[in-house]
Amino acid sequence: MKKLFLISLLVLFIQVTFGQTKTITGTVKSKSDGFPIPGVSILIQGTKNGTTTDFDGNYSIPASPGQSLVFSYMGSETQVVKIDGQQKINISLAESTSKLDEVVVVGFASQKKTNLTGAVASIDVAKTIGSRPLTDVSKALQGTTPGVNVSFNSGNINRAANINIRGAGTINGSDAPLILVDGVPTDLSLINPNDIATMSVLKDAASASIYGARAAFGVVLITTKGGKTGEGKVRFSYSANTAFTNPISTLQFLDPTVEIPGLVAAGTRTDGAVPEIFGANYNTLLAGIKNWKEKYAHNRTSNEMVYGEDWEIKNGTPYFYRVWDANKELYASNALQTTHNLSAQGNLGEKSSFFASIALTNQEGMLRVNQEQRQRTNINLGFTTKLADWLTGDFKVMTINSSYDQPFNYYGGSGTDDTSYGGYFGYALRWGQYFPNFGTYRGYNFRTAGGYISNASRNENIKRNNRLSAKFTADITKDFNVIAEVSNVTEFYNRKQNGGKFLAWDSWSEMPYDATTIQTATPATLEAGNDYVAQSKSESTTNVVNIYGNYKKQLGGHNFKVLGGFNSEWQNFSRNYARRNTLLDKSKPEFNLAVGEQFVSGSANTSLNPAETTYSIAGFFARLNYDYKGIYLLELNARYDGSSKFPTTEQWGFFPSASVGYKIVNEKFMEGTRGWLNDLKLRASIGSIGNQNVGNNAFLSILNSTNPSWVNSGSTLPPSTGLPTNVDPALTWEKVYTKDVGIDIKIFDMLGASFDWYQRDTKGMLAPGITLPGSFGQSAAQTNSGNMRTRGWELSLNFNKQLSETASVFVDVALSDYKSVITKWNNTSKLLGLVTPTTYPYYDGYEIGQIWGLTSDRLLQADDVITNNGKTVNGVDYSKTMVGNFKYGAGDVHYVDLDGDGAITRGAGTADDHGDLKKIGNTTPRYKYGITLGGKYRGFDISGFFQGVGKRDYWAASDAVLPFYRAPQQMYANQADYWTPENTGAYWPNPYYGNEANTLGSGTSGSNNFVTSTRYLLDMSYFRLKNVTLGYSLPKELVKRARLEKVRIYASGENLVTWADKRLPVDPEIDEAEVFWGRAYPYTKTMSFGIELSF
Amino acid sequence: MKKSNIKSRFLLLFAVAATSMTAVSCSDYLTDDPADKFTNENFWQSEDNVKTFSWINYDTFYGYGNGTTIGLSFFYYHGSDYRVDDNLSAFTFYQMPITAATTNVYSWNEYYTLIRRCNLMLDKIPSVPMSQEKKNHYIGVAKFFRAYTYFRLVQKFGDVPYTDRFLAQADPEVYAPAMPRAQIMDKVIAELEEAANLMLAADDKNVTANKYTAYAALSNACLYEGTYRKYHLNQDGSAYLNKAKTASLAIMNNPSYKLNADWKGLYNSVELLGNTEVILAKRYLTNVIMHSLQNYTNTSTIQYGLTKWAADSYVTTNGLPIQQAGNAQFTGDDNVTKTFANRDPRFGKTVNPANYGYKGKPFGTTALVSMSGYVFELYNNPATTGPDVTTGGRNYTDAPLFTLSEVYLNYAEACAELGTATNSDLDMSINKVRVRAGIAPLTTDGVTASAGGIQINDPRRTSALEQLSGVVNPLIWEVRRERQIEFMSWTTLRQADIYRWKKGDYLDTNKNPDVNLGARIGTPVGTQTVVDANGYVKIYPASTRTFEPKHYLMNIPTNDIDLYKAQGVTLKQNPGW
Repeated sequence: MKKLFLISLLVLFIQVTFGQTKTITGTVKSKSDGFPIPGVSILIQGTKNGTTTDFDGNYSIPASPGQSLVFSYMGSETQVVKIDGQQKINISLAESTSKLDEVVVVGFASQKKTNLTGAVASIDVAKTIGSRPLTDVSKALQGTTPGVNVSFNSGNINRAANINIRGAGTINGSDAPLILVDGVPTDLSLINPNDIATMSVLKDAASASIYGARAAFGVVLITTKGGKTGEGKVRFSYSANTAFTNPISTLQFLDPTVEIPGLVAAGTRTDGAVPEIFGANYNTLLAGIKNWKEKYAHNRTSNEMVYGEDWEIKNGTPYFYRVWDANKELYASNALQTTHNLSAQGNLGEKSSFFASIALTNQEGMLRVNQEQRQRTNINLGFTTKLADWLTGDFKVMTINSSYDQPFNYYGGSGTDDTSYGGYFGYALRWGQYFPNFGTYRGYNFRTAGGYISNASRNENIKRNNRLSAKFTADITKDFNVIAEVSNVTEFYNRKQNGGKFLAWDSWSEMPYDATTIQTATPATLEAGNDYVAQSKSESTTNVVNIYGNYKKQLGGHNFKVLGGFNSEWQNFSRNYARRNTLLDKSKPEFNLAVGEQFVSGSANTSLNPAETTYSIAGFFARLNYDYKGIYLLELNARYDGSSKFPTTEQWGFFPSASVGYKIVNEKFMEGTRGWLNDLKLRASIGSIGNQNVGNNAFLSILNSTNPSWVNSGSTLPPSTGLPTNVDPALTWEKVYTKDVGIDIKIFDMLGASFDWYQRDTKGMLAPGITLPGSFGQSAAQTNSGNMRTRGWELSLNFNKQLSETASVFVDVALSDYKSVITKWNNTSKLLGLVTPTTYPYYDGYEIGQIWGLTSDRLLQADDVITNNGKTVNGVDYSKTMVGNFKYGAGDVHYVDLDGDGAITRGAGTADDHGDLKKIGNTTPRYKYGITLGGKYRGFDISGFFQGVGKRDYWAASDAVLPFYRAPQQMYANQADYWTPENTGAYWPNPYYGNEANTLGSGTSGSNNFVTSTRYLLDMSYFRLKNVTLGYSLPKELVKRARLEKVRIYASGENLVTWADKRLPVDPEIDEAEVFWGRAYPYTKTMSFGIELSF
Repeated sequence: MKKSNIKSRFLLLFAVAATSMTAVSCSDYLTDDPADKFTNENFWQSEDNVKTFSWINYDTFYGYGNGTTIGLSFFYYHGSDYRVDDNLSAFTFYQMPITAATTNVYSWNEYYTLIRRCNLMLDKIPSVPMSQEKKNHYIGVAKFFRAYTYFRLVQKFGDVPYTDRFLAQADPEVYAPAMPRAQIMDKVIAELEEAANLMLAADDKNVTANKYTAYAALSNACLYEGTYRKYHLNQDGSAYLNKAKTASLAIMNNPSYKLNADWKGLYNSVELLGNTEVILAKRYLTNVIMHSLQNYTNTSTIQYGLTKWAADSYVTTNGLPIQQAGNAQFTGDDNVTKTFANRDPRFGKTVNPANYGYKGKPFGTTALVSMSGYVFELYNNPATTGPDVTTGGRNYTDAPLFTLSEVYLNYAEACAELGTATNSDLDMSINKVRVRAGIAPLTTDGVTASAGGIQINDPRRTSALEQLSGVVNPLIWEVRRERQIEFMSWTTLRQADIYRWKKGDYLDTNKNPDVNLGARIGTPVGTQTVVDANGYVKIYPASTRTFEPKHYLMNIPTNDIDLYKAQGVTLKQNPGW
């Protein structure tokens, strides 16, 4: 697409020349790879006469000796050659380091970066993806572009990253950007990174509005590689990478002999008694474990447990003494990831060229037993041909086959997989290292997370994505072309869940055996409720049609460019679900081999249930670009957009935008600075876009089907429906207004800087604008009720320096920050807590991510005066923070009575009357940065990528963070430092369990020592060495001898070093609450080795 | 470039433009009504649809809970809404709430959602094409659920907002002030009477609401109102008590309802469908809908236990209280055998009569540990074993919701409260329950109660605890005892009973220390269990619970009060909150 546009652009410069004296011919090639370059502009200096190279890089131009030829090509250094009588001039163009001529793909066209007036970032594909061992493009974007926020909450190989542009956009629905791959909305994690030709990000409304109502929160535009001409020769590239992945920042267990005394202390203080775990008395357990460590620890070679030594049953309760290396048992080590990529690019005859690639990816997950497996095959075929001298056809076929296998999730129940997939990790990490997760007795597992994993069949997930697209470019006249694009994408998704019952020792329940009977006993049959096979299949067909025209006109110094067209997209989606209970053979999970009831819906995961949805959008768009002598730049955009998401009367909306640029550097008075100032431009933009990213049927009063918890005389749950959804008849589009001002500077041809400040107002957000009393019986209808404002800034710096012919260095820095505030919300009472489950605790001035909590400066000590049965501390009434038998005493948390009213309260629980609460932090990541630096020296290249977050707080109401938050069941290494009369300087308080009840009131969580407070607020800021790559390209001569063109070998590492708060027990990047916060899928570190060949 | 060539390109351009315009001008191009959803406009079109809509209403009956959730169960579970009773001691010590909760207290939101559903049904059913008989039935169903839900709201909250219309959210009536409880109860009773007239005598056996379900609810509501007026308001409740009798009689006179031979079968059956004693049952089926009640009473984690207070209420089989002087059947309670000797057989069916289990001395191979020493066994069924019992969310015994024995005891209580009870009244109601249980029937002169010819004289009836709020006559005392024993694990029913009798003091550990004591185990094994001077388990030795008058009503959710206030309307908080 980029190339085609260049060709059409360069038609402009074709001039018929007169008075020729001599015809100069030659070929222009790329200096870096030796490919001929088509479309290079060749101009006789000082005239308007010129030509361009053809598909094979050849040109011919009549010129007289003494004249100079100027060879220029976007993205390359311009060369000037004086004609001294030679007939043939062959040129090698070097890639430009200044990038001033860089072309950026924008909506339906591309544009010189230097002429951009909106906030558009182009992503350097080679630098970003390069040879990083990442199979998922979405993850590679993290930290590379200021304002592009990428987060992924675990190392789960099947979970795509969350991408967001410029922070919180709306509280309703998604504020994800529109991601278009060759013009079609696409799941980025499916794309082969090596197929990507260009990536750009449209951040402000002025740039994105041409895409209309789906682009309210920015657009990521990706084009894939197409045909590229060579000298009639087909060029092949092959790359392979092998990577080894290991978990990082895992939760660390305490040794049971240290852990159990802590649990006993908590239990004794809370209940006045030694607590039990599944009926086992901790003191008995501790003695047994000590005995085991002494006698048997050193001669255990298999997972088989010796009765009487490793475990025993007392009074029907199993006691487990053997201590395992829990993390070693659980996590895979050196999980393998391999990628192969083969591509070919070349000419087919005079008028056609092609690109073809195949990529194979194979990835293993982090479970040691029953390891997850992800495989992907991408085949991509691009074909470009001249159908007539005025008509070019561009055809693409892309097919993606992706599969993911994982053990059936017994914890998640029917139908759940990824979102609560944390289940296995959650439970495996829940109890101490004496839990026999992978231990067996007589070959049978125990009822533990590990036992479940070991016995689970595998779920299968298969995704297929096939796309066909055609693009016709018709050059109607020299300055006017029309482009028609048609794409058809079918996506197929098959999820099969293979449950099954199995035999295991039911150590959760009573085990009525003794040393003798256990030797012949049959273990319990577990999971009869998950004895089923279920399958959910979905299919979607998406069609995209774009028809648009470009027209250019130059009048003196006035340059006009007009784009106008039509865009439409429509999709049909259908899904069905089937489940049958009672498998005859767990290893043959097939519908015909099961004998139980059949279901067609009713799974726990409604995203698997049958569905039939369609949507369509249509829009007319136009853009005008104007510049005067390249100094004053203006761009106007408008889109008249229609969406089926809205009721008939509200279907269409008009969204204009404008941006201006002032390229000071091109002013006459700046001529004196040309020696050092390469670029200086001021930009400003303003625009509005409607947002249609609202749920299906948001405008209709729908009866959603659901099943009651009731069965009549039949044998299935009868179908039923909820109340018709409450809909506001006056509902309309949510609108997003963006203002952006920016400046671009480049000096000394090596140091560039770009700064943007923006403000985005989302107005009329669809949300329950009012809170209805519970006595209404239904939550409030969504109305256009709230406004939100996000303000932020972005800074990017880049430094490039060619030190010598063989050495260069570069540094790229990206830094950004934003803050989102609710500017209008109908909550006059400003209640801090959730009012009903579906309404948000927002109010005017609410900062997104804010955390309210108490202030705590220290632990109470023996000299604090505690009276009134533990309720009064130094005269301050603490009774509102207590629950159960808890009494404050030495070793407990001291809360500061901020408002001095003699009691720890939350006042009225509102933003105006919040008692001792204050805003103690914010979960929004602030000051995100990325630093990429590297260099080349002879054949060697090195690059390092650092990424981090400057500030982020989190209140983790979790047993993994706060010791005994819920129950005395486990202690982790980060919790060992707790208060005792001997350890008064401890970090954690005197152990007491059962603190999860929210006593102070909603808006906070926890009770006793763990009411949301400053003391245990987590610092989630971090600085991470994301990637280091070291490569070596073999010398050209050597490579040539092997009939190759390029050979590069490299090693690359991901997530090698992390600097974060030492108290943080989990990875600082965790960004979403897992089921059990912290007891989650681990983050990973990857070491990889690869080779790249081209021939 | 050639002219003709350019012309053909323009032609192509127009063709393309024309095509695109056609695509969009298609009027319904952007109109996408959902293919697989009903809207409120096109849903109400047949009896099937009305019936489909009605199913969710039944979710209000939690029975034994759903899956691993038992939070709102009628049975056994105390939970966070302070459904504390005096019979069972939970594994967590529940204080009475001190501060007013902000939101959704005691299913407030769910109840009003159900009411809204009923209001919509009543709005729509009249215009749905279906037979008048079925139309009447479903109008009755909606009225039954609405009235019963308002009844439960009044029980818990007193005066509450009332509407019988499907309101739009902008309707000013959304913020209508609370309606006085008396007014609501009159509406409830009128509506239940109406429902009983409209509904089919049988719809789907005893698993959907029918005429008799409405009568059962009516009997409950009238008895509640009659006794509440008498004990809380010092008013004459006899009109309501007479209505309670009438409603009860409608069921008692229906020959298809009769008691089973076995009392325990009500609580541990895998199938109550068609059970003649159960007016409304919640069925559980394996792999379809299951609960966790058996699991929660049969795993080695610590169990609920019966309190001494409850245990001492079981009479001996001669019908006499164990405290009655000269009751020779009572052999004392200094060991487990003596404790259970000659006692009401329901005692030994509710808890294990063979031995005690407590922290330090688990019970049997299953290592059950009871808070109080009494090992709870009511829900055990020898036919259900293994992981089906011991796994949460895998139990499938059915739950009774409205039972004939409750109707019998309602009738007996109404007669006793009216002072009109005759021996024939007792024989047609409470004595059927007693005989089935295996204890001597009662006789009366309207005030006193005798068993086996011996006048019952329970010293507990006139104890200092009873005198706090007033002593009742011996017949009322024995009827109340019967309810306590017959519905031993119905925590919410028991709590509602003692609240309407104004006997919340039973829950107060200072006024009623027996509520925090358990079995008489003598010297405990180990050090984890503490006993008092007489060898009774001190369940929570360090904890006390105070019952205050305000606890007779829960607090109105303060968020609702605030939201009313923002509209300039006062929603009054209950006294003391």
